[in-house]
Amino acid sequence: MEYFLLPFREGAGALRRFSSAGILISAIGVGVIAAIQTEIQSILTILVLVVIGASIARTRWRVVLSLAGKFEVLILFWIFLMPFMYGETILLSVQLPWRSLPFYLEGLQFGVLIGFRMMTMVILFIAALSHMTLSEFIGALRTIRVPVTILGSLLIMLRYIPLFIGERKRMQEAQSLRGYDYGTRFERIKSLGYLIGSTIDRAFDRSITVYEAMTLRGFGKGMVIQASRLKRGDFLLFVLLFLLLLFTTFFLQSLLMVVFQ
Amino acid sequence: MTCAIEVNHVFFRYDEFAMEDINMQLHLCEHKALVGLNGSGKTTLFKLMLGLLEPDEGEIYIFDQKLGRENLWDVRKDIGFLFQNPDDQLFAPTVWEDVAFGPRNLGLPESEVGQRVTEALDFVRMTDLAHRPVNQMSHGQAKRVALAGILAMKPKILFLDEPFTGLDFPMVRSIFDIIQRLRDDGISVLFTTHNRFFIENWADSLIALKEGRVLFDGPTHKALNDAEVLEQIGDWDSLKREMAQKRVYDDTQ
Repeated sequence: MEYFLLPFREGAGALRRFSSAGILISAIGVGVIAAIQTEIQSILTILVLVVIGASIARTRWRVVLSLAGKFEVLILFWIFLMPFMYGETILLSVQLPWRSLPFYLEGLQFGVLIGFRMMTMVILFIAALSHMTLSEFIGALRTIRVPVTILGSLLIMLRYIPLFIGERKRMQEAQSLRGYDYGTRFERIKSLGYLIGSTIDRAFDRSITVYEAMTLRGFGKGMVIQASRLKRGDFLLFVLLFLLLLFTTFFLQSLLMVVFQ
Repeated sequence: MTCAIEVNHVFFRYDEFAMEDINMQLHLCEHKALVGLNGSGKTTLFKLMLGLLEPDEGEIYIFDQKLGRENLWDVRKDIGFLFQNPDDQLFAPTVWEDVAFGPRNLGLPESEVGQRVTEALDFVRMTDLAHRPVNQMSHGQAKRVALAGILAMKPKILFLDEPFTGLDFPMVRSIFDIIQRLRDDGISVLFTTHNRFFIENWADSLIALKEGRVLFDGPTHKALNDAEVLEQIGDWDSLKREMAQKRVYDDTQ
């Protein structure tokens, strides 16, 4: 069962220099700084800094980028949607049978800005998660006071989604072996309907059994989740975060003006 | 002999299925087989004894303590249940975390949790895989981890639901070795199986269910001479004979 949805570094043991909570808090901080930038150049500068920092930390870029690539459609969707939604300067008009659809310059700029923000966030968070195990991630969320009930559900969801993906794949293989033809789009959609139906049905049955198994091992009085403790090394991350905040607030605009003038 | 579990005149009805007048005892250190055809009520009996289902009538005693809503957790601490499919049981991200789940719920300090996890993983010889994600293990490894998760709670009674299903011979041997060591530790075991080999070679006694009723409860050697009980286990000898007759290619002839 090789399916895993997130880039966790399973089996690598505990983090040494920084705690998972420290990494997560820093990533959230950088994410917030990126989110409030209004210039594409500023976001790109932050992205470059993130890539440099993550490369120094020996991030597994192949894993990170292959997962980030799955967000491509979502990012492109916003880039192409915004120009039709908002703006004043018409770049071109798409002729539809019932009306013409204007494509605005301001919308395109805003869409690209949103796209870059999303790309930076996706790369940032996947890179951060790739430096911790799932347990460390859950511990980090506990440190930032995410309720245990949410964490328990998240933990079980991350465990069982790959299992259901595996089940769906086996069912698909079983259908193919019995001569089911996935040739046409309609056949694929029809088959997906059966698969989703039976996966939900199985998921429901399994959820009852899993709940029973957990109950028998003492679940019910609330799940016990250990919070991740901050380490001394995290201080360095927070100092870097503070420096990034100062840099983007006071120096980045002037620097970009010098560079692009 | 002292009773680990005593089931007295238990009745339970669910939709079309009914369990009627169930009586049984599991003694200390006893290893007992629970047999019956599919749908005979084996899993329901397990669930009744674990307090997952409540009997309509009758009483269940675990170490002389009557099973009821008010003492469910106290009673369950003493019983470990190994599910037939380990995927139903393992949900934590890593092996270590999953085995630690039970001891943490017992409210033990983290140092003792660590000690119990180490001991349990060592017992099932899975220490090397302590940090492996639970979804990256073979069926046999997952079964051993599931067993470690139960043993870390130090139960006095074990329920094993078809513990050898889907395992290859080395893994069967490894699980069987673990179970024999549990016998040395004085743990009572109630297990279900459809395999006559395990009944003959492992069970001290046997309880056979048929359509929600107890057909037989007694020593294994007596059960294996009872035609009705053999029907519940399966008449493997006659099947063997029939198959041998139908065999087309036989190089001994």
